[in-house]
Amino acid sequence: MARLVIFKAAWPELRKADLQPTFPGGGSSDILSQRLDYSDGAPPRVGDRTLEFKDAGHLEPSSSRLSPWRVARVEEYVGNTGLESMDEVVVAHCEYSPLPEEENPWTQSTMGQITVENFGGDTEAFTHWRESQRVTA
Amino acid sequence: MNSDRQTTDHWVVNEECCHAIAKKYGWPLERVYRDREAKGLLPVRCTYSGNCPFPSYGEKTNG
Repeated sequence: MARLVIFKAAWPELRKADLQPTFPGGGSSDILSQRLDYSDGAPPRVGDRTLEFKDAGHLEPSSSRLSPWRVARVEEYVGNTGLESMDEVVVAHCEYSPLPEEENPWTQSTMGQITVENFGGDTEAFTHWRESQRVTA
Repeated sequence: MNSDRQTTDHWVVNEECCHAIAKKYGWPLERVYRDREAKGLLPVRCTYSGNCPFPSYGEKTNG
């Protein structure tokens, strides 16, 4: 199952949050985020929240917590030809509903081990990287 | 969706790698972030929902 989820908010909700997302050309956007889901998990449901992230340094894990955006309505569009790149596109309309800071701690992400997968299958690049990590006495 | 708030980060060579890994292992890709100040070989961080280690290390994959 390949599912694209687009999280959107109505303009009054964006103004409530004092948020002004933009497209690359500078035009106003009402899109908060997107998720590309290849798992067999359920689509977002009313009441679910998106995540917000805090970045750390290079090769360090990020942190995340529930965002102030709560799903209020869900629309599902299912492919009908079998030839689509996505089996399903879900539009999740969100409302601004911030959580109390003290009830919403940050959780650090788990760091995956670095393998040839991180290099897109390029074994030469992976080997080169691995050699560069060896500590010489 | 929010019952499991654990996420897993993988640093990779480019943005399409995040998508390819998500598709290969059946993971939900939450965020793709390029560290523009990174000087190393792996400048892009992919964040997946759940516990998502590469299977070759003997751990279960996220479903």
